[in-house]
Amino acid sequence: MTRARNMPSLATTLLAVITTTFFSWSLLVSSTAEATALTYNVGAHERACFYAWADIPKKKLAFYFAVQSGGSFDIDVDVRDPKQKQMLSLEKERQGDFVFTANEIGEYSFCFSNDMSTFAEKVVDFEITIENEKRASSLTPEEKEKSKGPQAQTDAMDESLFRLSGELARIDRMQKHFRTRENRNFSTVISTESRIFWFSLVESVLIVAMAMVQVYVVRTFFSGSRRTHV
Amino acid sequence: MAINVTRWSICLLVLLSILPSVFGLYFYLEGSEQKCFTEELPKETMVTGEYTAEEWSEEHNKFIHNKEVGIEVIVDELPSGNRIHSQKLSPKGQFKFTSAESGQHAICIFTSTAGWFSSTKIRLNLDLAIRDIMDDATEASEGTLSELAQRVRDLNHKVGDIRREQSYLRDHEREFRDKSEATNGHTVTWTIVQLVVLAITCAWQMRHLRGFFEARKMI
Repeated sequence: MTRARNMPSLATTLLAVITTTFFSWSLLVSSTAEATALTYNVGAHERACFYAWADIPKKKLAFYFAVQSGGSFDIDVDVRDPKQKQMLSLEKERQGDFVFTANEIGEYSFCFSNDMSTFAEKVVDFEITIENEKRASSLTPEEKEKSKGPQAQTDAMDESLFRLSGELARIDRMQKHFRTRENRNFSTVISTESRIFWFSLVESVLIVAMAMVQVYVVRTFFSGSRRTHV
Repeated sequence: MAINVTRWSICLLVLLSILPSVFGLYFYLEGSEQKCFTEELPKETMVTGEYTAEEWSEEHNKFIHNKEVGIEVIVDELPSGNRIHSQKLSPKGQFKFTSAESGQHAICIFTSTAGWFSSTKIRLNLDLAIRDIMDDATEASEGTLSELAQRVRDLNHKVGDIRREQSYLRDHEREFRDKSEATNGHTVTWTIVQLVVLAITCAWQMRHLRGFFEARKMI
């Protein structure tokens, strides 16, 4: 997942490390998460903000975004904590996958701004997940009663369901990554098609124009100075 | 000590009063502002959206649940512009629609009660699920699910999402390949057209110049 990304710079590797440590750590602890994935069309010079509420400290906020289409597939991102302090500020980024620890209680804002485009609309696919941490053995006595079978089996199932959930999340991320790249490829092909057509047309026109200019020049050579040798 | 306790409880009360009623993703709508989301949907897929709308009340100085607020949802098929769903709803609830064709759909939400110059601010919690959540409701009504069963169900949904994404990618890739091959074909076509234009121009030029020189009796 981390190698497949095509982001430049040191910040990327740092973020990749953060994400991998988060995923490996999360295997140890049982957790439930609320995730909302939406695709929003950010118009030219528009600033669109989405918010998430952290009600207890030490919650993890996972933020993923990828520009699906529009212009040069990049957008400015601004993430702020409840005290309006900037947690993340990116300019002209194509995609990103970040995890924040919500230390403050309050409203966290995730803003996309498309100031750099005069008329290009950017379609941004983003997902904000709020991780609710729960200890692995925090099943209530009633839940333990209901999970018929010996405790060891339930724990093993719990563990394997957890791994499955993690792996599926990785597959989902990888798919989103491929979808973004595929959109970009498609846009390149459309651009290639249009370039071939226009450049061929322009070249043909130029050939005809040049031929006419040549004929005209040759005529002027001979008509201006009729008596002298050329 | 008593003052500290009262101070803390006041702080807690203030905090609770500004809490959104549902945690999750939310955004603000000013006046009659419309926020649209695009989703790539396969054919005949049911989409369920759960939302909660709260209005900013100046007198209470917080977001309150106001029954008068009306939320309108419209769903358009993007390439054709057909409106496949339009519904006026109460401030809290869910909406469902089924896509007719596969492709991009735009789901737009706005307040229907605010006028053009109204300055109401609405906080909208939204959760879109591309599946029929009636299944979840019927399962839940059969008795409280154990946590493990719940997780297995979540995993099932995740797998469903992955499969849907895969079939979308497969169709899109087919389109991409067709387009690539068409472009490749066009390269040849336009080059031949150019060569033909070049040949014709050459012929015309020679003919014209020959006529010109013959007229001047130089050839």
